[in-house]
Amino acid sequence: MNVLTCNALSKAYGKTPALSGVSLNVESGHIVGLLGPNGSGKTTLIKLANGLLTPDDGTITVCGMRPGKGSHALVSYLPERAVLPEWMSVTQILDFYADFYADFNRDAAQEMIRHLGIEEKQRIRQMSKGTREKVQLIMVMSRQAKLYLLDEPIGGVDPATRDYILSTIISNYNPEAAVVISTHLIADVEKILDDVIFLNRGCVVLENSVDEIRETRGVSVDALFREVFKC
Amino acid sequence: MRWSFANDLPIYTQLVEQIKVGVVTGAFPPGERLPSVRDLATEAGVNPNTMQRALAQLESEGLVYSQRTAGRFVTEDEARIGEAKRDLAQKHVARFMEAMRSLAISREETLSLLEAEYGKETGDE
Amino acid sequence: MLRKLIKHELRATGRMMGPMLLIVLVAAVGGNISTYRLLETSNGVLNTLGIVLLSAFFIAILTSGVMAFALMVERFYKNLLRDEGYLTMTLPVSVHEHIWAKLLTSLIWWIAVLAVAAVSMLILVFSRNMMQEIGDILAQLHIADLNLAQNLPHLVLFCVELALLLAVGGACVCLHFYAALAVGCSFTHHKDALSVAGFFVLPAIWHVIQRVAMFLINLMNLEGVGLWLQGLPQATQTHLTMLGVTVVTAIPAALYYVLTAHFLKNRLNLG
Repeated sequence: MNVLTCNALSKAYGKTPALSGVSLNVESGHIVGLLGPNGSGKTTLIKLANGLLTPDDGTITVCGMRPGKGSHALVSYLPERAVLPEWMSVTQILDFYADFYADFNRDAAQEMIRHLGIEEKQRIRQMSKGTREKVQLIMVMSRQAKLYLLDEPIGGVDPATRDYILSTIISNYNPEAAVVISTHLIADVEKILDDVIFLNRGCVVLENSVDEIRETRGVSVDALFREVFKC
Repeated sequence: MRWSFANDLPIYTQLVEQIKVGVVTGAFPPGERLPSVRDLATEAGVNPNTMQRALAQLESEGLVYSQRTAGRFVTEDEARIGEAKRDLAQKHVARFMEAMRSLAISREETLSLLEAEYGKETGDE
Repeated sequence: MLRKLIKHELRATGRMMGPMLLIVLVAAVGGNISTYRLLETSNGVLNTLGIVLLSAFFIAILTSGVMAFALMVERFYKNLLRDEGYLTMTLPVSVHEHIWAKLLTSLIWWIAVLAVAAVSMLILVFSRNMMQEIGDILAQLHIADLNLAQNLPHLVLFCVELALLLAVGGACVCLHFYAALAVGCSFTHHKDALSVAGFFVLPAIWHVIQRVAMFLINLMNLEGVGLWLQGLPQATQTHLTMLGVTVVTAIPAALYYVLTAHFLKNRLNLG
């Protein structure tokens, strides 16, 4: 089943094009890497799927719906920036997710929070950047969504945190769901991906499975990426 | 188990080989129940679908078998495990031979190098 | 979902407004002590302290009003259209629920500010013989206007109408800000500047619409209506006027609402 479908999707910021005629499908049960250098349109695509941006042209649907109230209930979204209000405590954030998302597993989230040694009464303001990112990821991965859209989940964190984040994703995602991970740190994520989509200057330049790339080209996705995006 | 992956081979084939090594060396003893796909995938840091594929491959090779409700188990067939061990050894030998050939080292030189290496090992003991 | 949105909205704003309103009440007690004790003595230091406490009270009331107003704008802008919008605007909630949650929460705080201001005024002027004085005033009223009982229904109705008008007026002020922000932030660049521009341009457009509407109404022959109105009893005329003013206030409010909803739903462009 197609969870995310784009058809000739285009978006420009003023006169600068961010996506030009992107068409793609993401099927449920797959972990897909949305790979490309900075400014290739990864975040724009994910924001369009969340309805935070409006397309200039073409269509984007999530589980057959235009982004909106209905699709938001099925999508679990990790933005590329810190968005949890700083004044909120962990308990308040848990309340917030439990109130609005029927598929939120509060017990699982609390267990992960405890495992990290974070006090529930602690406020976001009192946490380090890495801890904030972990808390945000825990909330996102504690939902049984149909589509996880993870924008740069491992950007700007230390290698240990990176491992923690990746294993949290693998051990928590709903196996009937699709996971889209956008990143430019390919070597770190490639082992957990089924498929990859290469974006360059707003266009899809390659769509393939990781094992097929390794089998037919005899190189890792990371090496292929360096080849395709050679400066 | 320690998992490590080379860059130029499909992850799935590497998983098959590493689990095989685990079975042959006794890290996964005969008849033992294997962890779930998700746990194995998390441990190895790979995609659960890929792990699933690797286990299916091992199943078709007869090294593991699944019981509908109880999960996956390592085979108890010692002969089959021995066979797998020989296969793995053969693969290493083939790789070694390839390397010797590319260095243009003759059969006699190769054998004497091997003898010397074995001598070193026994000498150490 | 609207209920939950308002709950979290009150939680987000209450941590500022709660203590602020409490300060107003405490300051009122201080003001009361000033009026009845400190300012009554001939001690210069105590007099000065009295003046400081009394000014602190008025500043506190003023600040609570300004804060409620600033929060109204800040919550809409920061929580929906900036970084927090990534969280808020991806909730499984409709745009209408978002707008109503912000609007109703703002109105709740404005009502709270008015109520606390009223209570604090009572605290300020409270004295042992106040009850006696109030009783006297009521008694005098009773003597002065024996028709009070007769006019009571009209008075109650008038109060309801006034409350409605104030609510609609308040909503109109909020929605004016919301529409300007929603339109301004839908652009890719210069979101803030365009929001400010929108704040002035939108009422100007409404003004033009109003002028055109007045012109068209004047073209119609409405003398009959005017005569009919003049023939009505005084009280009915007052009620109709209140209702008329409310409706006229509600029209721009509705237009701002439609504009806000449209831009949040179809033109969202978070930076």
